[in-house]
Amino acid sequence: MKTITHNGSNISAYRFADDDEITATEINTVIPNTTEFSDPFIISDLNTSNSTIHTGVTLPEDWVGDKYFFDGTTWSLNPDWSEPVDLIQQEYDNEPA
Amino acid sequence: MSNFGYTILGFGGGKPPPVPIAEDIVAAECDIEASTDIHIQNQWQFDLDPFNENKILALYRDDGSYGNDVQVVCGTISADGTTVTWGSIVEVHTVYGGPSSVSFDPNTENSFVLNYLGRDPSNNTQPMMCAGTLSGTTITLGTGLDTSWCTADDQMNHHGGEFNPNQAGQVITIAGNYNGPSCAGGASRQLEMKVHTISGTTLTSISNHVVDTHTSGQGKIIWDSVIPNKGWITNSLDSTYPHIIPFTLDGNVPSFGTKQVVNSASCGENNMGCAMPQEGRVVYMYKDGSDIFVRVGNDPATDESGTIVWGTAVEVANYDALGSHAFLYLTCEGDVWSGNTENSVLMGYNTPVTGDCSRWMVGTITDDDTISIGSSENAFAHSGTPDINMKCLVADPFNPGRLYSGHSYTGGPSGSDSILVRHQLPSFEL
Repeated sequence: MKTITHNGSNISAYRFADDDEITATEINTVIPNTTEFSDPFIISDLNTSNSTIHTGVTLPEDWVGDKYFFDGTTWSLNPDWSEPVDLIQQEYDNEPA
Repeated sequence: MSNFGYTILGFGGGKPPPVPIAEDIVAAECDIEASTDIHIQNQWQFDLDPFNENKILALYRDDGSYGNDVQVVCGTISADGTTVTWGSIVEVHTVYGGPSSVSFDPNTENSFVLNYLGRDPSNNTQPMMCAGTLSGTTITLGTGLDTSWCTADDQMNHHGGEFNPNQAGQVITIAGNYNGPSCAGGASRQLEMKVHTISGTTLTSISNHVVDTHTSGQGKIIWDSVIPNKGWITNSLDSTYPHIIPFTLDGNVPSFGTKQVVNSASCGENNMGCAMPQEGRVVYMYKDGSDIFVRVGNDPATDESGTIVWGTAVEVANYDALGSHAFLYLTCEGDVWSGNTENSVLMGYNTPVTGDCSRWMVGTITDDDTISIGSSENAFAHSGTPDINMKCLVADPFNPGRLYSGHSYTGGPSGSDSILVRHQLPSFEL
């Protein structure tokens, strides 16, 4: 697998299959075709100066974006990460039947 | 909302000196339940009539006085912004429901559409729409339409519907569909766009489009202020990162550009964008973890193919510095006017602090991609309890620099109350 981490914090923000093409420039990072995501997309805020693409990595089984640090060798839990709250679903769930 | 060609006459010889008309962006507030049978439980949405100054249309869930169902009412805001004179209340949906949006057609006078969460007799949720017309403040409604895609109970995530300012009678909705897996090829919370047309009180569903199969938070459509039939979808996709997707419409057929991550950190459901009066310019407000940031983007394309170029992110609110209280319900809106306040945007968010739970600030775009943030202030004088929620923010189509926000809070005269707040951007000049 591949992962893109933020330089400085080492937070692992994205994961991609080994075969996925990732093109980072000084401006942004472009993924034209991916296995994990069905559509191409552009990461506007990550570029060659503020992020790193790691290849051939084994991700934690419960990986989600922002949950882990990765320094190129070792994974560690981000203590500031928390499960996102689905506020809209909460509103619906709280409605009387 | 379209620009209605507001022109200040009689000044000749250039622009007069600035005349600040408000140092406080909260210019007036109104208890909209003060003297009527309107009893809003905790959710309401509104829009302002683009053809008739100070006319407001409000959609809300009744607090039980009339059965917890969905009601709509039209009124006139007083000149000082402190009262609304309401017309007769009309029932929209007879089963427990919730308002999603109200939108006036900027091309057809007295035409509007209501979007709301409905329920069928088995209590399944339904994304409902209803077209209506106005005569004065008298409302005539068509038949409510379940806009579910392939099942009878799609649960759409606040399917806000907006009229296309460049195609009269065309309404576009965008939302995440919780019941997507019920449809062949569908995915949970997939992002869907629906195209509808309205003639009088007749509403017709034209088509449904899956924009992205990954989980979507609450979506919003924003229209380019200059380029016809061009817009963007803002939402959170995939890992809850804030995204933006350019799109165009050719008749009733949409084309989508490449989805673009605005910031590679979780925003949960909290992101909000708005268009500025300049071609291709958007402002995007989002949470980065626990903090709030805003940035200005410029889309260089006139179609859906553009890659948006973003300016530097500017911090709007810092979680630690403001007492480690959660920030929720981000909202932002630019002025509809191309002129005096074209570079100003009003931004707000909620935080669970009694007496200071709804904060506002003005952002000023100082060049193509740079924004500066003014100091924040509480939205209104009511102390309220922490559940004051911003539900709606609408730019006044008749008064440059003026915007209205809708709020609900508990602890008021009737327990649960709702207010309308007038904001006047202090940069306004005559």
